[in-house]
Amino acid sequence: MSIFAKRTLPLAITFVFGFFMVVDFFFSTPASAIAANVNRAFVVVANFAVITAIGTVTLMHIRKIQKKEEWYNSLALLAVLYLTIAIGWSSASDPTYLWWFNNLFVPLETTVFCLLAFYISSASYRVFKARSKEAALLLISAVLVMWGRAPISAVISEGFAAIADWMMAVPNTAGMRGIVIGIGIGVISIGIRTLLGIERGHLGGKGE
Amino acid sequence: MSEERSFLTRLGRMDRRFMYVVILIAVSIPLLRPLALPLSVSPETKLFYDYVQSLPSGTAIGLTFDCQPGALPELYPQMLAILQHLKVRQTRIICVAFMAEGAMIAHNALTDVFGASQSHPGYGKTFVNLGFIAGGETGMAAFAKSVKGAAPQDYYGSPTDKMEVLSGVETAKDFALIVEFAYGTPGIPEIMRQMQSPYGVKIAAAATALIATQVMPYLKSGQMVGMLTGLRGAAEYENLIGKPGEAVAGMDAQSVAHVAIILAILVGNIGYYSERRKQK
Amino acid sequence: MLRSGAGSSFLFLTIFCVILVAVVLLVRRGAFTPKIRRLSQLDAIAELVGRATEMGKPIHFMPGSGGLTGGDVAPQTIAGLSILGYTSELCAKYGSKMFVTIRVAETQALARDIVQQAYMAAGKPEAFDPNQIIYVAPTSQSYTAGVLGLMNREKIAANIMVGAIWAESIMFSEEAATLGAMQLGGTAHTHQLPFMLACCDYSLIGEELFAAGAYVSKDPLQLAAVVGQDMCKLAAIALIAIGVLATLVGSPSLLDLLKW
Repeated sequence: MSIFAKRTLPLAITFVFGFFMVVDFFFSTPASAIAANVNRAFVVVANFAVITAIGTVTLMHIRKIQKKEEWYNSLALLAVLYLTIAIGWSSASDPTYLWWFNNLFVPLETTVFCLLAFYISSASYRVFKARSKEAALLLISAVLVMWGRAPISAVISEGFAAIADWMMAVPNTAGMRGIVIGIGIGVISIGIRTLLGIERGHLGGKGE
Repeated sequence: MSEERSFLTRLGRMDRRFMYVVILIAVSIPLLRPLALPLSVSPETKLFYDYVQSLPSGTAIGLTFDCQPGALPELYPQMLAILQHLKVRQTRIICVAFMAEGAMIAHNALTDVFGASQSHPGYGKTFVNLGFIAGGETGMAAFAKSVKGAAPQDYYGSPTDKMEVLSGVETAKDFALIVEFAYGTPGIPEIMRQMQSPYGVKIAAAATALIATQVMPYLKSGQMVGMLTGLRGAAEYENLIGKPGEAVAGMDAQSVAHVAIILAILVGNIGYYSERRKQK
Repeated sequence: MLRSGAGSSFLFLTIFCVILVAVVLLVRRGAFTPKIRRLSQLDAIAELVGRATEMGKPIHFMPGSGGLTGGDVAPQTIAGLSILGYTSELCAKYGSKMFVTIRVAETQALARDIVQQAYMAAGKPEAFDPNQIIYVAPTSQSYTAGVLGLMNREKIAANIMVGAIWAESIMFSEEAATLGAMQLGGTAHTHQLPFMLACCDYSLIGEELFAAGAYVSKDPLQLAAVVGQDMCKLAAIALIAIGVLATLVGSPSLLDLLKW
């Protein structure tokens, strides 16, 4: 593929559409309808990417089945994948699809999310050690917030909840605001770099 | 003394599976045998409740279900509590989702609160599920600009242009309040950028505890009118509306789990310091 | 016509863009050579890759679990992909195996292209295996389950998570720690930063992630943009100070400007 197709064309498209969308965000112009269509076009492109992703997943698992590498897991994955597509093909409000969603998908997702509690407990045990002054401060604030947010602390004193609320509202908010402002400026920087073609890491290669 | 130190040192090196068993027991026992611990109401939940209480009947309230099923243990009790409150206040409830799974979750929540969704006589008049609008943040922008334009059909495929519940609701400005059930992206920052800033609509967040730290600055700056945080926020809201449910029942388990984690941290530190002394 | 409520945002965006572009142009003309402080976290990538090579175990790389939509997600994904290119080239040079797990479909094609080009740049195009870029699942929890399984099966030696990351960060970092893997984490999602800082050996906090692409490329123009970014931050600090003083004296002028 030529340098024009790999570098120049993607950078030109990025600049034109990026600049257009930024202008549309701030200004109401007759071209706003075009911006709406550009957004819709991107949604369509993103969904075509899902189709190619499904294709690569299918090929990968067919290969595993052929090589007999835990073929039963791959077979189960492909069966559920295509059954879900078939059931939901007509409509997401189809009663069969809703049944499938509520009885298969929801329990599995919530189960994995609930693993978070176990991982947080083992991470807390492993990590919250007062190795230094800063670590001790982190430890104390973590314990105060956890204790204050637990209703059981009200049995001893209502003050613990007030302390936890203060820690969330004042030091936490102050720190988060500072980080968010820095991140916002960083986002502008990487946006300008991408629009102007200075940032090319996402296109691969050394960016010559 | 050296045996005691050895035991103390071992406390700092416990197998993580032992921790998992402790947490499992800590969470299970209060669910089987409730402790009925008192529950105070945090300021942000009270703000949320007071704002909804102040809304006149018939006002249009938007609910954005931007979550995946993984967040349901925390967000679903919040959804039910808020919907019950809005039903009692007789507001118009307009549900929409900017994450695909949110449309199904909205259907489930409306069915649980109203007894039915599309087949309910009030559907289309007092509440509606507009379904999923693709595009993430750009979908939000399109919805804010033109509600019926972004959602010409509801979740069940019925046209929305003549629906009574949407009369007078053209843009985000026409909502008295938009409640964002936030879990990831698109979430609070996106709704602030696309709805609150340009249209000035009042926003309230019903968020998982994990993203509460991200959402809190918006509340403190006055850009949001209230916030529910995790399962505790749902429990507080259930108590405020006088309908204690799943969330209140889960609070005892959450309390005991927090205590178990705090004890684990203390035990870990005892083991750590014991090992340091031994090395010295 | 300027949209309602967008005036102040447009004004400050314009000011910041002018600062950024001015610094880039100055560097381009040779007015000065941009320098940024050492980011030990990025220097550590070579250490992570070397460790994995010695142990004969693979590296897990995750360029975030966001895609290319969303105001704060897309820049993180781009930053993550930049680091992916750098890491891939190191893996190709040292002969390390790397798995790249993807959650959003549109990122998969980009990641595959980046890794392939990195292997070509390292002079080892034949070592590239497209099966190492794995699209796992589109939802957070199914993606988490898939990656946890992969980590355990492959017994990874290093875990690199850089980009837009949500709740999965704590599970990945804890699992990797249990496997004895060395870890680098970086995200601009403030709610995940505490987990990364606590559990990872090296962390990129917030805008350090956005500077990463410039740092690893050593491109003067990219470094100039990072220097410009810091100048914009100084401007923001000055604005905060003015705002605090104005509020203390009871003047609403700055607040009114921000609401324009």
